Amino acid sequence: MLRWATFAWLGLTLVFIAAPTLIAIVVAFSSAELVKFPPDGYTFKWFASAWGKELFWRAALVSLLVALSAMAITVPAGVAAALAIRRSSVATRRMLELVFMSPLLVPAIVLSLAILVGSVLIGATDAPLRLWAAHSIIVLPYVVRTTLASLAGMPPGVEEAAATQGASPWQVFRYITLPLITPGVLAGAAFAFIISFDNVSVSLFLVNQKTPTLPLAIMNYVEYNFDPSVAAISTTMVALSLAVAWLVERMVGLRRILQ
Amino acid sequence: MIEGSIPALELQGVTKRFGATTAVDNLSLTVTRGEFIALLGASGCGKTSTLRMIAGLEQASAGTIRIRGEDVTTLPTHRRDIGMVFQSLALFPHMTVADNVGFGLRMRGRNTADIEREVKSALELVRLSGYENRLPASISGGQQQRVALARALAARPTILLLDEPFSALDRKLREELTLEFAELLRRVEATTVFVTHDQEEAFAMSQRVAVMQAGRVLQLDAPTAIFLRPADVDVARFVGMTNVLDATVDASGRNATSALGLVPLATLFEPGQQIAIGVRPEHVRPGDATGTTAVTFSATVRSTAFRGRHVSVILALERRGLGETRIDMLLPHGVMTPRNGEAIRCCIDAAVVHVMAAV
Repeated sequence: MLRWATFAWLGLTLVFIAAPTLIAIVVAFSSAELVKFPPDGYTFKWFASAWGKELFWRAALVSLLVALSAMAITVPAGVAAALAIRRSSVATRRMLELVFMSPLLVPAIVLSLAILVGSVLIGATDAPLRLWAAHSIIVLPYVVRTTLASLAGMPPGVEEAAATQGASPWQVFRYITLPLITPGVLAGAAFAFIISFDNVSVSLFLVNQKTPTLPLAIMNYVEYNFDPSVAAISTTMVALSLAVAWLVERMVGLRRILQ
Repeated sequence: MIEGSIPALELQGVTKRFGATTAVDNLSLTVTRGEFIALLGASGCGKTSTLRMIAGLEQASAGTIRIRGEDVTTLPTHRRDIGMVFQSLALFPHMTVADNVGFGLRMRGRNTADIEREVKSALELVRLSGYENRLPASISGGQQQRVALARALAARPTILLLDEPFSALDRKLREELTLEFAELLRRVEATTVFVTHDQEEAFAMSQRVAVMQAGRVLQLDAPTAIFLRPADVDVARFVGMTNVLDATVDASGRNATSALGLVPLATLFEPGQQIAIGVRPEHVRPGDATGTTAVTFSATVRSTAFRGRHVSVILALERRGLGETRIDMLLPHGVMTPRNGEAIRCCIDAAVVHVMAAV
């Protein structure tokens, strides 16, 4: 009896989590001219229509570029930060951890407003550059965190053992530390990509109207149109996120990182 | 100077302070080439800090460390010519057995053929040929132990450092490996510094043992000397000479009065001198003494414990007006098992009574 109740509860929770996504995916294949659930018939035409719109694929390109460049800078920076944090004394360590986690705690609106004001002050009003800087800040905590977790999970003494074997600090990092923390670093990179690609709140303040990111292009579009091409775009984004998650799972096991 | 006269390792006044505590206090030690020396002591005595300073994993607060005559006190770990086996073994989990063993050679820039040959001979030495392509996680604890030793020896370092390498193993495997490693290291004539809290391990493997306490070496000597003639009361208690009694040399200078009565002394002492006498529990025998140079006394059995090969007995010695003195006795299995509360006669051969400075 209790068993069945547990399963029922689990099922309900799963439906609650997955239903919105599933509905969007179903609607993406709907043959109706307006968003309607359940659909009357099925078609692929909205994918063609959506990706035929320059607006969307240009926006997708902006998002991809911002996400990849944010990833490219935060992965080395985050790994370096994690290594430094680990070597610090307990008090310094607490402080540094707080500093590097703070982008998760400060409301995104405040952060983006600050970056907007700051960029105007120093005259760096180029939108992609601003976006890149802002996204780098918000994704950095994920890289630092997953790297710290994998550093903590390293077997004790292996770095010292390598040093006694004649490995210089750089060789210790190259042959021992890096291979052992690679799973955590890859997971951090994947998170960085997804978080950046998906972001609305920070981007909202910093894009210019000609080059929005994909989530903002979708928002703009929905204001005046309500056809299933939006759902088709969303479905593509879901597929991309799932693909990244699947890659990470294949390479390192997602469960280990999320713990 | 000729090569042979330079010690493999020399510590001079080495001190390590962590904040207000002094872990190693002005320690000096010389290890000759091919010698096997143990640092023996309870946890916190400074033995591990000493080893880590030799390896360069800790910086000495004061003093000088020389490896084969070269001052390495401030040299980083990777430039010291050492090999080390860690308590946690610290095998590289992402590398095969062969890559683990060959790591040091690779870091020292040796060519592939060289590395292959040295790895092969190191694995033969520890009897692990055929395990080259296994990962550390897929072999047994004893085999991992051997890989760790092979890795430390592969580059033929000047000094081999062993940091409690057997403490994670079960008793049987530990005893096996202790003897095997001791024999192996003698054969390759490795200069070895071995840190342990286990006196049996230290005695079985080493040519000399340094007994440490509170960051100092209390006694540095051959295992039998430490066992039979501990330098002071602390060493005596540490090596299991648990019966330590205050005594006073009598007017003749040939006997000492103690809780056991009049004890004959092997050499002449100054009359009236305060001394401490020590007797190992296994040297306390039941029954009356037969020779003339023996001490006999009566005591009450307080408790007995069966320990397999031995029965350990705690005796209480009555001293009029002075309360009780505790005497430990270790009886070989099968001799007798006294009952609690029983009054028995015991004796000690004067030859095994060890005289030390009074505390």
